[in-house]
Amino acid sequence: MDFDISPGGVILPRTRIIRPASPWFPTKVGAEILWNDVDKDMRKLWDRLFKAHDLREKFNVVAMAGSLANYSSKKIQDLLHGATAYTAAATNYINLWASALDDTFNGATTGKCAYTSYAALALTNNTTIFAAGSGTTTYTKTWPSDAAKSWPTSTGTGTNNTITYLGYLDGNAGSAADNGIGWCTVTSTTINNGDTPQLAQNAMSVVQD
Amino acid sequence: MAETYEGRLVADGNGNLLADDDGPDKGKAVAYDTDTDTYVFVKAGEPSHNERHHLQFAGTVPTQDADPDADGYAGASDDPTEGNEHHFIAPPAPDEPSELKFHPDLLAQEVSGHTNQHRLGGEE
Repeated sequence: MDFDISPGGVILPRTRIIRPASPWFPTKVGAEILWNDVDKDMRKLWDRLFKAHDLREKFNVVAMAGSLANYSSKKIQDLLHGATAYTAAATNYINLWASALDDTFNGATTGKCAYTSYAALALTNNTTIFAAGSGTTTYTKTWPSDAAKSWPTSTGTGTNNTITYLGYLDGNAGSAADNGIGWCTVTSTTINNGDTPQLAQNAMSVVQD
Repeated sequence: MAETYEGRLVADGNGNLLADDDGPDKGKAVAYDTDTDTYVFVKAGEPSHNERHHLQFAGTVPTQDADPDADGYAGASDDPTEGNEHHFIAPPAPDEPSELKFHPDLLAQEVSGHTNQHRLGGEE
């Protein structure tokens, strides 16, 4: 550390201008100063950010409870920056999981639903089912646009029949060859014999800032 | 006796099953037959898989923490609604490794979405 000596002979640490070295991060003092000038949603976001116990939880404040997968994020980047061609899957295969997903998931990720007669929900990738979204600064697409969609009716407990996550893939080989497109959490629901899991019309929202 | 099917399955969106292995049967309707514990091709005029087995719907509802009055409300991170605690489990940060596990492909193809899945119990 560098030092200065005052006219009275006292040794003082040399003061330096603080230069930002990381992205802006709100402090509690800053938040209190601005509290009356921000809307309710922003207050709620800050509140969650400050209460989060660790870095992982703080990231969740921003990440919410779902995301595009690494595979699809890369395809979008390469398409926008470099015009690397990407042909979207002709069919999106919507799957259910009984354990956590993250951006690395694919068709071989463990915990996939397996009640008796379970199968991926095949949704043709067109603008009837994935209609144009709305918004400019925040663009939101909701689907399935045309009607509610159902997975096969359960004929037995099987395994992994308490679903907590939904993830959709670009194939139905049932292996790592099926690339992850996106995922989200769903309310914990146990699928019993005779139940037909159903995704309501426009139940899914994909938001792009 | 009804002709049986063994292989990958896919859902048609109406609670029914279709054969999904590559070949001449791909896309044909199949149904689970309780008596024989097999999947059989559905002939014209026969009840579909859903018509044979459906009792009630089970909603698949994405969770959200913005609107307490809307479906799937997960509460707050320090007070999650029952059954929605996982909504607040953060995925790994960009500099953290994923904790997901993956089956070998040959096993993955049969443990879910396959006519054999219910015979391979114990998959975690």
